[in-house]
Amino acid sequence: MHEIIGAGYCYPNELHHYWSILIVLYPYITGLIAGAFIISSFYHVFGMKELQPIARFSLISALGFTFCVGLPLLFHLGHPERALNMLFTPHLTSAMAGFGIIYASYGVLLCLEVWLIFRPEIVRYANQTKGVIKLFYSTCLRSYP
Amino acid sequence: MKKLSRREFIRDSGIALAGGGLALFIAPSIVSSATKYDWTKHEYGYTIEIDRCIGCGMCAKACKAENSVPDTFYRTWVERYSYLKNGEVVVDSPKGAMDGFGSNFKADELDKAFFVPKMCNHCRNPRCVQVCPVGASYITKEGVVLVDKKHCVGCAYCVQACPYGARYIHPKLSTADKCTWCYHRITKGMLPACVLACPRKARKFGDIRDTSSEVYNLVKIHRVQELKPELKTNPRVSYIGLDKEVR
Repeated sequence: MHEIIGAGYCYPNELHHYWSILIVLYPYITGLIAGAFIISSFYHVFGMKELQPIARFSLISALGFTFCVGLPLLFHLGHPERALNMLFTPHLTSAMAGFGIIYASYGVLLCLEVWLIFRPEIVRYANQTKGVIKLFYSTCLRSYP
Repeated sequence: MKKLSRREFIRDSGIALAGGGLALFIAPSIVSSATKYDWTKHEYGYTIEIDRCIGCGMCAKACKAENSVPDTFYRTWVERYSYLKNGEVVVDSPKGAMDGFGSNFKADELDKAFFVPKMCNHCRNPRCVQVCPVGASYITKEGVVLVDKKHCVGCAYCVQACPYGARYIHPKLSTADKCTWCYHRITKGMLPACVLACPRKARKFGDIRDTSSEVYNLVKIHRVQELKPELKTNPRVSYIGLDKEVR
């Protein structure tokens, strides 16, 4: 009975490795986002008072990491200038395109939650600041300076 | 010589101009109807006879030359399966068999050995097409799996997904690249470069809808196998004489 021994052979094209540290960074940052969001939700959704001091900080951390989670993937691409093709012409059987849509939706959800949670601060800054910063916070309040 | 009257000159000139114009109008349409390629009228298949392959590597060389495949990347390659008397099977493919194979074992160590040409299987259910996030990998009407290099983002997801190791990222173009069955040739009625270069006619290419084609008849007459049938990719490349150790 003959048997192929060991793992000494791989296809000639597979001697090249394309998915490396940048691909690993992507789920790592995703994990940070998910963890931060869960900690925030423990207070805001489930009412765990012990986590109140870090609930708002963890929410804003989740938002910050969401904006940069795509960067390792972007640097990994052979054509980063075409990255938005994943959103403009998504191929829905692809997990990568699916996650593009999920992440975009998640980003919108986080923005909405930050907008609601930080509303007192937005009102305060809209009243106390001047210039471009005031314009930004006033726009967040759907009013004009 | 008869002198033409003004009336005759205008009449003859008109006839000549009308005739010339008609010829210019009709000729291109005759030529284009003769050479026009309709991709809905073909369905291609590829058959490899293992027993015929001598591992010369001419197919890999021809492919490199025809498609300007960069060094250390392969659209097609040949593997050697060496069955030893101690029960081991050793597989190798030095430089994709571009320079053929040297001897690796003594004759008294070997039980048997054979060569297996490999390439993109142009699957009917291709994983590379499934995973492409932007739809740059697609199947043509004739069943050829191609990459739109102007749309590919170069994420290498398809390279990871292909179970046959047939894809790579082109180092200069930074997009996915693979065997196209020499699409630029087959749409002009020519054979792929590897089929043309094979001195033993181990590689056969043709239209499987055409009942007179060699590929159609080989598949009809012989018991054929495909690579990794358990993955249900349903390849268009069929092998005659494939051993179970080949993967």
